[in-house]
Amino acid sequence: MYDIIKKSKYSDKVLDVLPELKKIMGKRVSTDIADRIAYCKDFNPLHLRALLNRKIPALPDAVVFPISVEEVSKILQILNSHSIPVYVFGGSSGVIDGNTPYCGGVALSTLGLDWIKIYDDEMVVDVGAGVIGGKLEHLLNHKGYTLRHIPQSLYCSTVGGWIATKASGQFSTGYGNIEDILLNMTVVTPSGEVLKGKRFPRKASVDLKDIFVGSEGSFGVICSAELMIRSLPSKQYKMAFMYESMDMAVEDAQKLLKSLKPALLRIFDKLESLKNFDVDGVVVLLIVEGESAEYNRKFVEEVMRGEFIGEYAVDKWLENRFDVSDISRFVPKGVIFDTIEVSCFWKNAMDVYRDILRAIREVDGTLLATCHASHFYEDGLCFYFTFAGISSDYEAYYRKVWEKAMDTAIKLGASLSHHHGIGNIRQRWISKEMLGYYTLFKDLKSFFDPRNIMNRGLILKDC
Amino acid sequence: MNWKWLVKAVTSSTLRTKLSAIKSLSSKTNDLERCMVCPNMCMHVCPVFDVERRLTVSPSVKSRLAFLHVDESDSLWRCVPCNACKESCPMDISVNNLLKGTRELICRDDSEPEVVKRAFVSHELQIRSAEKVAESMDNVDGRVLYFPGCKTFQVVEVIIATRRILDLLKIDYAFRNDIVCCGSYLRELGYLDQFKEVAYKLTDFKKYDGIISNCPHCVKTLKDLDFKAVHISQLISRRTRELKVQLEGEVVYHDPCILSRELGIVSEPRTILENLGLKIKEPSYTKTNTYCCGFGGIYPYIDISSATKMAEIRKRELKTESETILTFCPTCKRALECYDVVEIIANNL
Repeated sequence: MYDIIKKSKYSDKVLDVLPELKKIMGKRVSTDIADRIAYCKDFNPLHLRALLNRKIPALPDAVVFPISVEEVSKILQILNSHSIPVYVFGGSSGVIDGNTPYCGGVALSTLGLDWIKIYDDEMVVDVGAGVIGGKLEHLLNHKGYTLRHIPQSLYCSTVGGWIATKASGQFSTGYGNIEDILLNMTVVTPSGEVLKGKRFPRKASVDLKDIFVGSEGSFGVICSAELMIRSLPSKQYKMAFMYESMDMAVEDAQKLLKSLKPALLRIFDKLESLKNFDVDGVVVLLIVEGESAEYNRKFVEEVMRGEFIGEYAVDKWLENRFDVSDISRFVPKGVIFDTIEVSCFWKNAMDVYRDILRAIREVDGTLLATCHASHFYEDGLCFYFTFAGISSDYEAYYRKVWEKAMDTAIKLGASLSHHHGIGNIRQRWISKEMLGYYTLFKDLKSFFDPRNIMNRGLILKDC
Repeated sequence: MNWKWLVKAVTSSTLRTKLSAIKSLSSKTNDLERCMVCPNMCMHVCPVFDVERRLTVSPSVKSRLAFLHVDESDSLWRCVPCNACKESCPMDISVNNLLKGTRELICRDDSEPEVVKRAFVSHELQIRSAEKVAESMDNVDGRVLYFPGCKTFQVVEVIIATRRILDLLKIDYAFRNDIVCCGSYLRELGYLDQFKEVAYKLTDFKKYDGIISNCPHCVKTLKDLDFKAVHISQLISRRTRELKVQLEGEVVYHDPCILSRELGIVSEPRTILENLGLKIKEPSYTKTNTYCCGFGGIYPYIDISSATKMAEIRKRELKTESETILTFCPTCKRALECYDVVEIIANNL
């Protein structure tokens, strides 16, 4: 009932190394078709369409399920010595086609690296790369703690995936992105070398995270992390304001960010405000929390010129923030959905907002395009665009939207991505963002992975 | 769906796109498709995934495998009927219920994996041993039927305790040793014809005013078959004070999945324990957000080692709250090696 993919270029090589792998891992090496189909893709929308058409995007020749750093090291040594491609999988929730095993080879699942050790006195959690965020946050909350790293994919993404894709969460404005709560990490390079530093509040010189955060599995396998935890906030105020225009809301957000980093700040354009809150206007949500919450609440009320509409909109958003069921409701009907997030400076924020929306809407087949601003900094913000389209040639339509959006972002000086990553989808533009250090990025790849086994053909297609 | 929003949102699209959309949006889809295109938003609460640590047994991927008819794999049977997925799904989808349909199709074609055939045999052997235990007990006539369920016959002390309580409460109950199983396990495995045979035998139960059971699986199945069935906790919660039992100390209560999520029985056990004088400690996974004991449904027949691991995880979590674990299900009791609430009541009568 599905299209079988023929043998990959590496099928025979993988068969040759299976005894060696099984010697280390026993039954945790699989060539079972169900396991291979489970590890055939990430959550990129093109793959969903393919599967609904009973086409499998790619197939690894085998899947390995290590449960320790040592096992990861041994696996990589074996596969590297035979130049067999390795595709690293956590929860498989990435959306940028970042680990689809196009070359075959071996899919390496990090899910077995699933330890959680909480050090109360240091306010640190030592966590395996395969731990699902939702479980980690649940256990921390039960003990009165929080990570405050709450991506929408919390329930299906892993800690390792967060680091590899340079993730961000809904509370990033107040607490920072993944790199800001990451204190230490363990990485295994393709040669099998285990890299781990010591944990400090701030490290001297170059840190491992400077190299591996956002590397999308190109340089090695992230196996564990030590993350900063916080006590659940003692006080919290939720506020919502309604504005007549996006311009005015963004202007006030900029003013606010000069003096205060609220725990959460989101600005929804008129379409998203209507959808989420049934409100005809631009809705701004704010949460301030902690010991200074009362003081900060007053400051927010002074700065924000919009009409105060109470807490209900924040509560409603908090209740529905993980509901992605629109994908399930519309994708099987032939609609193609995706999101594009970019960061930009305040000075031309509204140009980025308008021009990218226009670029997406201009592509024939676009049904709708909406936007909200989701992460804020002193010097800029992240816009998060959602689009839905319909076309008999869905792939051509989809790629056209991406092309238009990325070209517009580059033209306006916005970043290619804020927190979803590069993957196969954005790789053709990466040299335009990195400019002079793109060659350094490639050199690093050659240094860590001279045989180019890691996530081959994805973020660095031309390696 | 906020139609006002949708109409406004599509304004800028071309007429051709709008027409295509109208055609597409009127097409029919099903829960299997809806589930398989979800990014697995219930994965963090799926206990089978939690134990096996493979995407292959995660809810959305199992739906993918069912959609693609990957029949040769046992992954479609690697599920517990805990409905943790349904509890967290905005579309109210139970992956186990979805998979049951596919399992039935595969079993009907006699192409189920060997491990499933072996599971059927193991279950049948358990029924035979439950029947032997039942035969050692005398039939009793009464207005309502006390139906322990096959799993309760594996923990006879629960049956003895329950009957003491029913006697004390002067319930006019019947006890039968000729039918021990409600057939829910056959339905879970996908053997629908065999389940229907069991269901046919159960029609004799219609003559009773109602049915009381210790087993949440039985209560759920009997209710599905239109019987007036109640769980023993529902009966005791209304009459705890009549039992005149007073205890003290701290306990942790494990909510059985089907009891809390399917039957909505969350407050009754707590009312009983509070009326007995016990202080209840709540674990992190509690009430309708409970965590499966591992032995629910067919999972232990398919993979006893993973089922036992799940039980160990749950037991470890419960023990961080209290050394005394209580529950209200014979299967959970066995998995967690703890007491059923009826036992602590009967032991103190």
